[in-house]
Amino acid sequence: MRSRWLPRVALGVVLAYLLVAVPVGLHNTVLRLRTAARTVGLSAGAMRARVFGSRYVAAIERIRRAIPADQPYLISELDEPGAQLWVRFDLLPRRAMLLRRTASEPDGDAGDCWRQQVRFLVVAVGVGRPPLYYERPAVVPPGCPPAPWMRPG
Amino acid sequence: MTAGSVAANLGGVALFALPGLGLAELLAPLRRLPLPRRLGYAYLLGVLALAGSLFAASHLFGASLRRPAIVLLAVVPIVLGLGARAWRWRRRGPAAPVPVPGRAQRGRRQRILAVLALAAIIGICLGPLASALCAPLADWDGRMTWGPLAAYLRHEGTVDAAVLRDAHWWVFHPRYPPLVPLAQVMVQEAFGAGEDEQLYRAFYVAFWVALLLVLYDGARRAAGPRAATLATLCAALPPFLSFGGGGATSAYSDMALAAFYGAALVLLLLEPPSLPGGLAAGCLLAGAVLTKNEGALLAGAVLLLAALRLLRRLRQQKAGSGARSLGWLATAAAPVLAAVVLLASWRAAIPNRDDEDYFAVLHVFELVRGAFARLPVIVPLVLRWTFRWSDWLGFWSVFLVVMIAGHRFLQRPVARRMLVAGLIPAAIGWAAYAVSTRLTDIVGETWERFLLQGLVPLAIAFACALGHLLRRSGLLSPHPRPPTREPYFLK
Repeated sequence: MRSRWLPRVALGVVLAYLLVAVPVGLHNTVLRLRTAARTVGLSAGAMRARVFGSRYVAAIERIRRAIPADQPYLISELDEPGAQLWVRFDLLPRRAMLLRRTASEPDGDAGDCWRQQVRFLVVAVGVGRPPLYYERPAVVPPGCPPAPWMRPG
Repeated sequence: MTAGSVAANLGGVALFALPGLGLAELLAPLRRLPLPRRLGYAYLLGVLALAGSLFAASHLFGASLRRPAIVLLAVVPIVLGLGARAWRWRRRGPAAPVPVPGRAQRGRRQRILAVLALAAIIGICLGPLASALCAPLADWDGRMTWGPLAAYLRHEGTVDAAVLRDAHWWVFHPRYPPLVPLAQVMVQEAFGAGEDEQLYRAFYVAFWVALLLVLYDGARRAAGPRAATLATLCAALPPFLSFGGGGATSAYSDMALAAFYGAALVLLLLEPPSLPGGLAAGCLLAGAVLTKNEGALLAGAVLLLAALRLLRRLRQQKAGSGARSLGWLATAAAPVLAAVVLLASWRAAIPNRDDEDYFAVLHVFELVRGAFARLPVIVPLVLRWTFRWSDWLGFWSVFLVVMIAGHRFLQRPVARRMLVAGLIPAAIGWAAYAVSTRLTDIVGETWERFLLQGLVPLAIAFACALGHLLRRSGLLSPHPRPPTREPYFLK
């Protein structure tokens, strides 16, 4: 008969894992359920304010009111990489155009043609920090066709 | 969190689960499973059938991503399923119990242990569900890639959104397969979600539940109920799978891919070959193709493993079964091919942006050179992320101990195939690291998600080893082997 100590040691390791991991998992669940209980009755907007901060959410609301859903905006960020991704998500489905031109743009000049026709500029300051918002004159540069959103109708 | 948002979130899960159950009624290998084990496959099939059909209808025929189309797509499979059930009932009367693969008699102690394990798993799964229902989405890829894709598709009402097709707009990964974001759009449209209402969050958590149900079903077929229960409990516990970037609370597509991949593997490697089984597996593989870029590679790998199984069967069996077995493989491959063609057609009009295009930079020489030359960098990083305590609580250490102590389980071909299948996502990751221009970052961002993608087959192999150890240890009463038949795949 083969020795049973190796299977028993291995099963002991499994048991030790369960003794640690099950309480940790259930503790995580209790924490989440407690948080969920505290948010009962809160609207989606109120929950966002709790998680991301009321100043950030208020700034996003202001920008949403200023930029119609079918209008594009330029976006850039200050020092914290990725901050503009965070802000862009909260401004969806508005289309974003990077303030700086990227190497992949098929036609750099056309990109510049479009950029100057965008009225709105949003600057992401940092993750969870209120973004800055600017409005600027949108002009059709000489030699450029009007961008789709500038055309009447 | 309001009662309405909770109801809509759960309705979002039912939107796919009910049509999926209807489809499962049409497919004998799924129909004969007990409801809990059927539910995992049904949910995945529902997502693929609804979102995949809407994808094709929108891209090929210009169908709008709005409520009438969604309701129609959801109702058809439900009606078909009910019709098939009624037809069978009228023909034969109430269905007699059919032997289920992996079903076995249990003693009282085993039942108590199983109930305790089930209670623990339900308790674990409640955590991500509660978190998803009350907290707004806050994960990077969900906010960077998948969420924006869903928002653009919903806003324009088409999968061929102009914002994707024009390179001036800042869109990350615009060519990523859109199945899961499209399903998210369906939930939001079906329940009329407002701007900040994230009624799709439970839809993502449900992939985690489906994955666990599929894992349990596969492990039970391969190793019996005792080892399957233990393996499923062990796999459910790592916090990364519940709360990590790619886990149940996130809006990544990795959990969905892992579930599609694992479910197809179970049906192709553990289920007796049949045309309905092949079709179900092929649909699940099509789901993998339409979920993430890696999906096409994983689908190809699964079909290859199924072909190896087929060759083995053909060598063992008498002549005449070859045509039927080939039909099984062909039925599995056909949906994959259709998904690849659909995805390629959709992508054709979408210019890439600033993404790394791995296939463009993937040359065999550089791949091989990078895979070896970068080992000193890759290995420590991979080890660090694999054994990260806060994410995995030592799960992979336990996995290694059990696999080494129970290595004799590898004598079974099915266990070997599952182990290989579990390592394929990691191999894909390794290939990406070999050519990536930002190695350190990308290992940290992706390695744990590759582990997740291979979780179902790895956990089934783990269950096989556990079953071997349980039998050898003498600690528990001898486990009755699956009684219906000695499965051919155990030979």
